[in-house]
Amino acid sequence: MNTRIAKWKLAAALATFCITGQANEITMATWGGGVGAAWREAYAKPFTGETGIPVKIVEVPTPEAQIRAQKDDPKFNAAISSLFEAAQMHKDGLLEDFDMKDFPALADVPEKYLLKTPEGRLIGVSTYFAYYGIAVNTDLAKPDDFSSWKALADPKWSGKLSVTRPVYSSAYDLTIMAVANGGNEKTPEKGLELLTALAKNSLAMYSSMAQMNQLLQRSEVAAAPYYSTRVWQMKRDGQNNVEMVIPKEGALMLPYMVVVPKNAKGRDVYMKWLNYVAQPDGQVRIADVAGYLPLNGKAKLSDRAAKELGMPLLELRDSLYQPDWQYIADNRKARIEMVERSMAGTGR
Amino acid sequence: MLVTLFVTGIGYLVVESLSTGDGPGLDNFMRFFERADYVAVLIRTILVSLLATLVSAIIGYPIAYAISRYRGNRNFLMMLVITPWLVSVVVRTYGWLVILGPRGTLNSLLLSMGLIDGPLRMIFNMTGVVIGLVHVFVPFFIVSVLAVLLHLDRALEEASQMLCAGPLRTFLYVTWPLSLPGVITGAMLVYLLSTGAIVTPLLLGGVRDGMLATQIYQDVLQVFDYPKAASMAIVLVIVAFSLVIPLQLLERRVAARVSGKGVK
Repeated sequence: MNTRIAKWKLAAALATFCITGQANEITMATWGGGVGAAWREAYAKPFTGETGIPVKIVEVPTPEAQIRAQKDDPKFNAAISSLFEAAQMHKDGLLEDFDMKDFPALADVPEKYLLKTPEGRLIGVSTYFAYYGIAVNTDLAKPDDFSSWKALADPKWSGKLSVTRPVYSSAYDLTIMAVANGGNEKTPEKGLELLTALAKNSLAMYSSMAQMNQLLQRSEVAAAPYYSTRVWQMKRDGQNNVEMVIPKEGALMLPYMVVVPKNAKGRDVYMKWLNYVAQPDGQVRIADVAGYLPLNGKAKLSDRAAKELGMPLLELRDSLYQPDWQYIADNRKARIEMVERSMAGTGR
Repeated sequence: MLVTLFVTGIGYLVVESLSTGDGPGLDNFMRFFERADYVAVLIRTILVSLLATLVSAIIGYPIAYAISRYRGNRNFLMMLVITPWLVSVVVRTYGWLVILGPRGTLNSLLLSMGLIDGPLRMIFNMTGVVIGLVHVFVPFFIVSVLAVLLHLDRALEEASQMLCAGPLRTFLYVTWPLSLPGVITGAMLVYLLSTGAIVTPLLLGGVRDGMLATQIYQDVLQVFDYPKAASMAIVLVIVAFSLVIPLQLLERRVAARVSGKGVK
């Protein structure tokens, strides 16, 4: 009996050890769906090789949910985040902020891709970007059919499109559709009509990347606003009937950053980690393994990645629409409500 | 212990649902009922759950009855019934896309036979949600009814037939009333599980087919608006109990009646 109890105690201790971040290592939360694997390959292994500091990449459904749930006792000392999630978390007092001087490599990242407090403090380190355009199934439509965001409202696509859930479409689709109608993120009503028309044309509302990938791969839908990295991955996996389109009004820039939960353990190690992810080398590697593109202007893509991209990296980066993510975060609930009401077909 | 956990959980939800920026209040509930789209989601949740329960009963009862009367290896049939539980609900639900999707097996077959001009929309609507829920939850109904049918005193049916009642009359006046406690328990289980379903409405529902549990899921894990989610959870609990309590009273009444003890 004592042996059994001892085994249970050992198992409990191991479980606690596995979850709890140590002060001398990096424990980083990432999304699943290949993001964790890409981070291990592109950043974690080389970092450990150079510094000897162990890096544990933990895949979770939503890193933001983990940071919020562990508010008083953070188990992670790093997490990947989109800019609008990071802005909201910092506003809620959940993230550390930093002095720009601590990250010399960020001098090579344009100011508009950095997230800062009103006092000029840095909220995390921006490392790479994806973009939000229109994914097209070429068995059912031509890429030229979606040369404008407004094409998504055409009734000829009824039942042949897909749209993401209001929590995301209120941040992404609403913004870029407002831009397509001559507005911006601060005039979401300009994008609402187009988003509602897209919802009316949609066969399904996708709730995960796996679901959307399946809809595109099985030719269930002709097109949907989607992430460049997902289309890149499908093509890398041999799916030749899916293309990413940047409409003439532009695509949405989606920068990603590494943030540190408030009161996280191991400042010395996480500062080294943040400095590492700000460098171009890791960003070039993750472009090769996952299709995320470097934000650091000194990064030079490999020949293969450059060929897959099909246009100069900086030209693409600078052509994408970068909204005020802080503004979007500040108005997140109101935007979600606006989209929910509109998609439900009620104006009440 | 379980009751304590349940009551503590509900208590926490109540406190959370009443929390507003200006102290305790009913603001979260008022905001919920002020929104026509949320009220529509609530009504849809009830309707879809009732429909899933009804279809589960129609499909599940004959299966349970057939298994209870089977003279061969009954355990094998019971294993077949619960086999779907061994597969992830997400995988099972995705399977319906392959079968019923616009480019799925069934639509391809009907198109190739010339029976339809274009694909039928069998999923990504309320029909798809009901099909998915029935598939996931019908084993609960079958097991509930089967448990009662297997313990049914067959001498009562024999007595009925000896008194010249045919098989149909015996079923209607003896077997069916005696199996009602199982039917009611199964119906309660399917209804309760359906009201709380998240994955199936997310994957098989259309743009306007969200249910309350999916809305709660979004508000907890993506919007992090816990008071709003708690108020919706309380509404969901009330909706669930509004059917379960009358059904439990009915079950008690039926059980007392079939055991010949009457109702106190």
